Amino acid sequence: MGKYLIFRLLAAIPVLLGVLIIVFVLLRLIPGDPVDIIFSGRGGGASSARTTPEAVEALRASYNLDRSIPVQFVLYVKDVLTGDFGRSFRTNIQVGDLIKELFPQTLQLTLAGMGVALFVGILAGVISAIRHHTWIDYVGQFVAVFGVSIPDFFFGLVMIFIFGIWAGWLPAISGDKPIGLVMPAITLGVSSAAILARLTRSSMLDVMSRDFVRTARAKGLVESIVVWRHALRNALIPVVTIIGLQFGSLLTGAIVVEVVFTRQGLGFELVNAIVTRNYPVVQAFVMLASVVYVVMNIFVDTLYTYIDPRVRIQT
Amino acid sequence: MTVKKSFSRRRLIQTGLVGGVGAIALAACGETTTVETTKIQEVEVERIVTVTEEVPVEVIREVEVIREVEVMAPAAGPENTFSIGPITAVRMGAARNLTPWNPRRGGTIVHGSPATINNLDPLHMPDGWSLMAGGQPLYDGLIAYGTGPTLQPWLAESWEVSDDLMTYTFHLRNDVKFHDDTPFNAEAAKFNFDLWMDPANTPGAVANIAAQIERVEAPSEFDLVIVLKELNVFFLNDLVANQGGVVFASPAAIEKYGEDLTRNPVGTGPFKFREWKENLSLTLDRFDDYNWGPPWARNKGPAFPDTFISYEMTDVAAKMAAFEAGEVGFMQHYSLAELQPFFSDPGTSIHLHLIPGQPWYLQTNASLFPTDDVVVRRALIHATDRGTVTRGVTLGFGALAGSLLVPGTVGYNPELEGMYEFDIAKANQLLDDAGYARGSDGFRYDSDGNLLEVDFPDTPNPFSQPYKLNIEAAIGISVATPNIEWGTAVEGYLKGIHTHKWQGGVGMEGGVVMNTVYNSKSFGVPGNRAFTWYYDDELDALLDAVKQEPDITKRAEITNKAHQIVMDQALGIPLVEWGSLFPANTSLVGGSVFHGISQTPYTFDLYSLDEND
Repeated sequence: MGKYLIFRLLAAIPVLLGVLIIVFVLLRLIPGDPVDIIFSGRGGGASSARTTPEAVEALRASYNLDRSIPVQFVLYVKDVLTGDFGRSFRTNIQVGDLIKELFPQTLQLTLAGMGVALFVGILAGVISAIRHHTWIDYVGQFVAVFGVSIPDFFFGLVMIFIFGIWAGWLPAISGDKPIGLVMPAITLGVSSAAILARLTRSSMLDVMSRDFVRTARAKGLVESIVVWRHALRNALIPVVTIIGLQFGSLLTGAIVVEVVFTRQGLGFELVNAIVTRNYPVVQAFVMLASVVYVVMNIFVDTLYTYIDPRVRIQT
Repeated sequence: MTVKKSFSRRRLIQTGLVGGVGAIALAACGETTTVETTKIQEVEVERIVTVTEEVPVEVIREVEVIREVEVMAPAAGPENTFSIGPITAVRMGAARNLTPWNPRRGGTIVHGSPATINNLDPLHMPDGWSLMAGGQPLYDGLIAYGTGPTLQPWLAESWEVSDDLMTYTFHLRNDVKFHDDTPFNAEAAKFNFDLWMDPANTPGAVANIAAQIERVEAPSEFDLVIVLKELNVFFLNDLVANQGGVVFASPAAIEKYGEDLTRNPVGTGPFKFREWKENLSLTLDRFDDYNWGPPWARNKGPAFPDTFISYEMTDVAAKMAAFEAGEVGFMQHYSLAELQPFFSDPGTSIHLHLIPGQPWYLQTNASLFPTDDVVVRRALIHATDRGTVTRGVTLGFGALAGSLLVPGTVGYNPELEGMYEFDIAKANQLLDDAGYARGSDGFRYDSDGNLLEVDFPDTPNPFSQPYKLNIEAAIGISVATPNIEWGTAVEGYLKGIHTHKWQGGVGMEGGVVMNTVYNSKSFGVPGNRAFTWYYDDELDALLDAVKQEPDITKRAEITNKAHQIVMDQALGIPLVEWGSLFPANTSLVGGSVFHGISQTPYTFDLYSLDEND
């Protein structure tokens, strides 16, 4: 197992390096120059002094943007290896500090959304499966289709309208209050819950008709043990794969949810950084997202061995 | 306008577009190009009818009357407050009351900012938005515009200018200290200026001020002397420009925090810093020792509320929801259409703050076919139905602009307002006479068979689509509205490859605004918003001269001459005089609000009425 993990982690290094090179180069190839954008935001009309080309060049040089792309890359990687991700062009804040401040917020929301998705999705899926072709199943499936179809931002606004304005139970500005996590987590988790519910249901239906379930029942086991211990454990294998993928999409889905609920997080910062060509922020955030994806994939792969003892890792 | 709010503006516009495009689309859909003249006129008629239903037409007329009595060198007065439909419009920085004056100490005021805070370090503040988004109460300016065009004291009690207009001596207040208890004096101010002027630093918005200064001296504890490199009569104006003016940070804090001052700002303002959660909120606490409020503030002592919170709310729908839920006391906003749900709410007061400078308008590039022909540029102005094009934002309540400076700006000339009346027949006549005939598809072509097509990138903005519908139907000039992302569009504008750019401009002095936009030395350099690419020696000479003319009346005359050239050459399509909307929940926030000439409201006279505090 240890050897396997080390192998996977080593294999991740070229992946991450590849991502970094692609992001680094692509950012600089797309039209739009960060320094032009910074100056264009300065509202020069209010000041009688024209912006001079020298001032523009000075700023460009201070960001090393006057160098060639390979030189910029080498300088950047050198800094990154010493733990320096640069400063945000927009706020002049160390990107490392930015991640320290914002990532836990996004991770908290993602995990809470995942929690909602897992709890609601798996429970609904199992109930739909054991009560299939009853009204419970039909209602469950209808709600699941609804959940998959509804866009996060719209669902979020409806939630704010009902619980924030009409009922007044929950704050419309989520901020970083614990109570403020409720609506964003549900909003974020709802579409994943729907996907998981549908998947769990079909997987459970498949498993419930297998021989070993019949055997378990024949042994005289109580139905709840048959369902929850024997069937579900087997039905979860395809579900776990999807959970890994869903985690990634929740992380990106958090972007919209954070903005709608006025929550702190990576989402808005990343979107704004792309719009304003804030290179250091985009590079670091994309790298961070890649690391999360890679780690999540490794985690899911190792999780299989615990769920299904037949899966053994060969290195 | 500023790029930092591009993300938020995108959200804002999405809603606004529906109204604007919808209004025109309804009237213009299913139409062929042969009878479009009539159609557009119908749109115009429909607009007036709608307005009549909602507010008496006299209200709109009243706005027009006020425009006519404006003089070139403006003065503040009660006539600068008037109604535009359901809102109270304020011009020339007049203060206005949200509630009867009955101040209450304590509590919290919550502000919903439309923009993000970009930086709180005066050295690096890239623009005014950081102050506007909530940073203003942290700092005091040196001087400011009060309720008129005359400069007022703030941290400087008085000032003198040498006969050659090159040396400025400021006499500073002697009772001011920073939030860290260190004194504010000439040395502290000099320390800040020297930092901005140091070539080793790459300053933000203060770069334009620093670039003008030869040296700064502190001959005595409270006397600050600034010597300029070259004559510029707008230097004092520049000190209050950029939405909040030059503001000073504590030298001790600058030395302590260095580049991290942005996360630990220390100023002299009525509120001191508690915390800034990036992209979420800025929280400030009252500075109890504050006792140096500027003359235009009613409350010159410590601020009324204990706490001031500014949320960075870039999502319009989220901001509206928070306002409706009573979690936000006041906001800054642009689209009246989005505030419509609050029109009938007696607990909501909505003010429109009109800022001197330029109206919202479209810059026209004079170097590209077909707008390199002045006839085409003129026809475009005549054919633009300004009311309908801007309706998506203003609901038809804006004061339509006829020239490229607004009333209240030094150099404004009311006579220019009527230079290009809305007249589609005349526009068509101009194009016909110039030989731009219509093809079988209804669009116009030049004699070589080239399609007359202008482009107005939708970055997105609320005007591209209504403008396209308007112009194509009215005069048969094709309007391309490519969906271009903001950063890419900026590059395109700087290269001069687009015909139209939507823009506004802030400035008490018309000469200042015109200089950055129309002086040919500005072209191609980011930050100058100069995209007309129209080269004219006379215009350049006038704009250079205006910076050297100390007499305001003469300055107004020179500005007016330059403005006439710009208007005669049709370098921009005036749309509407619009500004910053200020909706307040008067059960949460009371007192009086004042903007000066900037978009940033000063918080001196606001107090909390929140019962839950």
